[in-house]
Amino acid sequence: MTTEQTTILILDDEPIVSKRLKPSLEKKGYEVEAFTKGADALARIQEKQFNIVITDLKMEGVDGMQFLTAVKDKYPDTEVIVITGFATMATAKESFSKGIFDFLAKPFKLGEINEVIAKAEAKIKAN
Amino acid sequence: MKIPCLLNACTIRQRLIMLNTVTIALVLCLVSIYSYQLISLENNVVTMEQVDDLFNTILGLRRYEKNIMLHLDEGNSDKAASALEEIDKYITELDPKIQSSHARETFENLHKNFTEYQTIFNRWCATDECVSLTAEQNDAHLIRQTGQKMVEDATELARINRIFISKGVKGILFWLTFIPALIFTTGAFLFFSQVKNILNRLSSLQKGTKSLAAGEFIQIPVLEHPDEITELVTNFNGMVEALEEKQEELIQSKKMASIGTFSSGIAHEINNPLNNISLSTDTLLEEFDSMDEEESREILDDIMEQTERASKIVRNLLDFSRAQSSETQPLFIDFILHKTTDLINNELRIHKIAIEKDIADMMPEVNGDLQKLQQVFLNLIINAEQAIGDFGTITVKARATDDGFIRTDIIDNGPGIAQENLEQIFDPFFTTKEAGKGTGLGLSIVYGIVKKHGGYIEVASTLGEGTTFSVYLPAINSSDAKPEHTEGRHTET
Repeated sequence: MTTEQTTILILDDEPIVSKRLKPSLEKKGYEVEAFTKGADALARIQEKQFNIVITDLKMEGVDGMQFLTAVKDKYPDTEVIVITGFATMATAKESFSKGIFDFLAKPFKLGEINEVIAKAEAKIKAN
Repeated sequence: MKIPCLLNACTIRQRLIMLNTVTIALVLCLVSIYSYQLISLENNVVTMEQVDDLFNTILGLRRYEKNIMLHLDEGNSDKAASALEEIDKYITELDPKIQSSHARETFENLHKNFTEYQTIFNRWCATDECVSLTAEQNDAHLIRQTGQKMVEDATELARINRIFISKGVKGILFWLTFIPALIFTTGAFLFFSQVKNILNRLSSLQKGTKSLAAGEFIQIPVLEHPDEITELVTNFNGMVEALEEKQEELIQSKKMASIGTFSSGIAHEINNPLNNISLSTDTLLEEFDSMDEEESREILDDIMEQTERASKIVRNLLDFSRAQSSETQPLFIDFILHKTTDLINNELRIHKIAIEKDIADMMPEVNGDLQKLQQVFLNLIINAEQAIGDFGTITVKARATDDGFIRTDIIDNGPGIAQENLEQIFDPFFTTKEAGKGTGLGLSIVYGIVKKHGGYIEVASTLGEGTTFSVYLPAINSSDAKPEHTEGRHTET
């Protein structure tokens, strides 16, 4: 794992999130794949494990909670970071009970998510 | 008790006082007329008796006169003299009582004949014993002739008196029957015409209160009668106005309350463009030096676009929450429905409720107040959402009907409404939600708004399958819109 690039999957129905995050993370040396539809992302994780998954919660179709549940079921050691505009205690609790790594409320800055990703990466590498 | 009004300008109180005064005056008048008639009848009867006495005395006198002439018995001249005195007394008594011209004339004749008779009698019986007269003598002839005239006069006087009495009786009968009947008829006519007027206006007031109870704020036309009912009607209209104002306030407060239910969705919706702006700005700050102009411009465009998006969300919310609009304008129903679902979309997404729109093209416009109609559909959608809870589908369907209405269905696949509650759901303060959760005013407000737009609402529900609220709004330019749906709501299962 240490020699390989850290892989990240981003799922958010807001295209701008992927558009800004993807190049920024790629520049930092991550391998990034971005999706705006839950179904597409769900299909992708059947084929490949990602080290880190960043997902929005409230979306049309397959929503974030369903998606992260599927991810954690399939790959318990994949770290999931939730980003959401609807940050309530209830959704945060539910997400953490599913074993997510962190919960980030929208709006956030690039620096904040980078920091969380770096921590997640450190945790993965430590294992 | 001053009554300075003409009949039509009087208050009911004044009219009652007037009516009573007139009645009392008439009764007093009748009583005095009856009394007068009875007294004059009694006088006539007394006069009649005296005339009878006079007549009998005259007949007696003539008997003595005959006896004297035929020399029968003794003392006839004394008796005749006392009869003469008696006749004189009667004549003196009757003199002031005989008034009518015909009776007077007869009475004068009688008086004259009596005086003449007296003169002849005195000449004839100057001494104690009357001069013996034979039938051929002049005085005998004269006295018989005059006596006969007196008898005729007295008979005539009695006849005239009898006629008087008969007339008096007839007069009393007339006053006793015809006049009370006339007064009664006139009084009844006046009373009913007054009462009818009052009852008519009371019944319009009754209708007004009934329609007010049904949620229609209709003013009653005020007539130009400055009486108690007019005052009542004016006060009623004031009350209608005040109630309408309260209804407006209620609608506004209910609107603000409904904003609470979807504000979390709105917050989520605003956080997304804010996040986009934040990420874009951050990227621009960090990478500005290494970026070419085209890249920077694209990011700036994104920021602008997302700012627009956020401000549109806020504007939509503000448009809806603004207190006073009350302007009626032609509106397309799909515009109203899209604007409404924009407000609630995120909230529904949070509860995993799908909203499906099935709105027909090319429907005519409706005349309405955008905010109010938005509130109608928003309330119905929020109700549907609350009925569903989590996971479900709300279908918004709109069609033009054949009878000139635009029908919008809000269909949910929630648990449905029980039959016993269906009848009451539009009543103010009726709620099946637990205490503190629902005010029970949502649907009554929806009902009021739709009614005010000239439309009506139907609801159909099946337990376990869901509920459909159908809002009918009159389409513009359809003269055949049927106004018979005045009941305003229909329920069926």
